[in-house]
Amino acid sequence: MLTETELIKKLKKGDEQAIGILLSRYSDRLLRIALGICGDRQVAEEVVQDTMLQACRKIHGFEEKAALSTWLYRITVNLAKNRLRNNWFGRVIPWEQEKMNTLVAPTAEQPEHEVIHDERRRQVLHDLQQLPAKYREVLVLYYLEDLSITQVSHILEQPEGTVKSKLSRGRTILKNRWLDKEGEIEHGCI
Amino acid sequence: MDAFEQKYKEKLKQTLADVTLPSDKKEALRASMMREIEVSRKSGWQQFRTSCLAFWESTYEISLAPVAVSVCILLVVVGVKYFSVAPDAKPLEPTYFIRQTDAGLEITRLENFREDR
Repeated sequence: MLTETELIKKLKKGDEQAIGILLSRYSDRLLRIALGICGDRQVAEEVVQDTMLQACRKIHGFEEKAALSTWLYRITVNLAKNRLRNNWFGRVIPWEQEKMNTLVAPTAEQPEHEVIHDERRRQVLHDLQQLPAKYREVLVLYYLEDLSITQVSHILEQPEGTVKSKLSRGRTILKNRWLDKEGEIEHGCI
Repeated sequence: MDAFEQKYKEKLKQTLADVTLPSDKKEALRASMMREIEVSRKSGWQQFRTSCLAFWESTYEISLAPVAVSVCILLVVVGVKYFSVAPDAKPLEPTYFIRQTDAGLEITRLENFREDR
């Protein structure tokens, strides 16, 4: 098992095995973060690809002042935000239509419980997408990746106080929406 | 962490836990990363050349060499036609005025293209 320092050294030498380890350690985590921020699987995969390529290009300049994971998360968050900025008007499939596409009867290849799970995931992502990006990125890093406020502040390069207030505001918006939804369900609106 | 936070965290983790990058995409990404590292080891000029070629090949479906040759020929033709170093053909400046007189041919030297009378 390679330590992080050894991994970085090997990556700087261009070791193929180290690249494999980097991918197996971080690609899925980065994909989840990118998916949480972008809300689109395809875009998230592209973000991960760009992150890894950028990491390869810039690994020689990585000074190990921060952890490798912090550095990779930072690249992912920045690239995901860039994608959001660039794709704001260019989404091919609007969210609602995408959601409608999933409301089809389960096929033989996709059992019913998988369809329900997919629908739940879409709902969670949909709730996240309703938040402004500045709150979303904090919530994803804090709740999904279990990072501390300090780590999130390092990744986003923002003061801890700012991260705390964004977390609090994002959480409040989410909570109010959930309460509204539950109220609608109780009153038979849905 | 309050009850809502705990619930939200669990829901988020559960629903996104199985989101992984497919193995074929990981392999393709690994190959791209190896290529990227090979490129980063090259000199600046080679990196520029490789990135130009990669851009060309990803944009157009024809090889760069014949296009480059055609462009060079075109540039040479345009250069010869419009930017040639050969002097422009100027009209000949009359230097002598010759006329037939009773005494025979009279040859007069012209100053500033005029007959000096």
